[in-house]
Amino acid sequence: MLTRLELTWRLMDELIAQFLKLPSATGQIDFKLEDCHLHGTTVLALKYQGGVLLGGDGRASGMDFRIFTDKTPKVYPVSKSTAYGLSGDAHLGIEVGKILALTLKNYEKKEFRAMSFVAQTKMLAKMIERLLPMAMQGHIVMPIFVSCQEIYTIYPNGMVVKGDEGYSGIGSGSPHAIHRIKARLADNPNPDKTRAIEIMLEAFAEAHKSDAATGSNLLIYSLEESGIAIVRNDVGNGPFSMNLL
Amino acid sequence: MNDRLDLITKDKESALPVIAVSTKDGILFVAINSSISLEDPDTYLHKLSEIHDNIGLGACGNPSEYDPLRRQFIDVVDRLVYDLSKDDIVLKSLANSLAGELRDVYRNLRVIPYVVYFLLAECQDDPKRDHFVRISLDGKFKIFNSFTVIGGHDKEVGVLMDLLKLVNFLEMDWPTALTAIKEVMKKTNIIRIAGAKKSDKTVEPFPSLEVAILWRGKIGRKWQLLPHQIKEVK
Repeated sequence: MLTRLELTWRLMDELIAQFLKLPSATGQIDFKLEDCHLHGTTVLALKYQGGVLLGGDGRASGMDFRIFTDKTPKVYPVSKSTAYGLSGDAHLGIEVGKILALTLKNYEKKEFRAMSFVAQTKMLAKMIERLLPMAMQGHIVMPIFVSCQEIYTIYPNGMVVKGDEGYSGIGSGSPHAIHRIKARLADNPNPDKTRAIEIMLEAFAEAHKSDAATGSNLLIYSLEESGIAIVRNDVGNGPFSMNLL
Repeated sequence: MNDRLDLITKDKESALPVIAVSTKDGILFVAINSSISLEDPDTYLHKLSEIHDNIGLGACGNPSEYDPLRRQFIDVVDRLVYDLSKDDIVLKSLANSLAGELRDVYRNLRVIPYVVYFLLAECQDDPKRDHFVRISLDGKFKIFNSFTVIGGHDKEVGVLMDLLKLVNFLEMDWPTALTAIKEVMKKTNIIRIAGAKKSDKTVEPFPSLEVAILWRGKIGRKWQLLPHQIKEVK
């Protein structure tokens, strides 16, 4: 009989097997952990009084400075109370999000209760850890995972980093954006929702100005006790639209 | 084969009925659940469960036998959703595979057969396209259009089916339908069988009910467990 973890691992193994057939799997391995900040994206999470904002830009770009689209969602709600933002390999990232969403729904149907946030984070971290060989061949996935109270960033080796300062960011535009967020939070470390949205929009504008791989179209969710709501959506459903839930 | 039937006859008595009817609000599931107690009303063995966005399952019989089957069934559905899509889940073929598994176990002379009954219901926007499937422990399955009942007491299930046929649930909202189902139950022997004996001559206590609904017309997940009805003791 299949258990919850077996379903996840079986799907993950198939995903990995599918990738091992790619030519890059046999190519040269050239990977440093610092590289995981190098993919073109800006995804930011910011805490405010009573919730968390999670937003991402809409630009999907390739290695040769080519913009494929400016309207792709990079943040997805995976359950009623948690959301997932991805940077790196779009296909792998979306598949990981799909498997996570499916597993959470599977658990809820079987056990008549939602999985705890700690277990969800651990499950996601294990999946990313299993993808480390993919990361070493260039298919890096580095997600950010939030609930209405916590922000976690997960590194390609499975390391989980808690965003205790109240903000976190991934992708090439994030250093510029985080610099701006830090400056704005210096005088007001615990902003209300309106102020937090202002700070986030300003940070995204800064990232768009300084980073070629960050677009101006945004998708921002707010996560609160009452549920997940869209704050701003310029990207629509996008070409990579996946019905995650 | 007759010896095997005798073997399970006694176990069948523990399978109290589950009813599903098509109402205006959606498909209403009602199960007599003896594991719901007054002391700890939130901890009980579920007989009703969500399988897919628009498919619900009711099971009765031995919980240690139907629960693993239910979990396996959910895995099969989720695997299909991952491979295909949410809209490609076909109730009839899924029910057929579940019935096939029960039939194989029933026909295998080396093992004791499952004592489980399953009820699957699919909710559509148009009530006329609702489907109900009833699977019995020998793997026989039958498809219904507006309601169905499962349970181990063949005679009582037959009586319930006959009585439910006379009520037009499609014009009712769910609280009215629940009341109507309770009225129908009172006309049968099922309350006496469920162990709710008359404690008082004037008031007849009713067995604990587990109630769930698949909301019609809702986008995404339609399933909701409603507050259950605890045995009225007076």
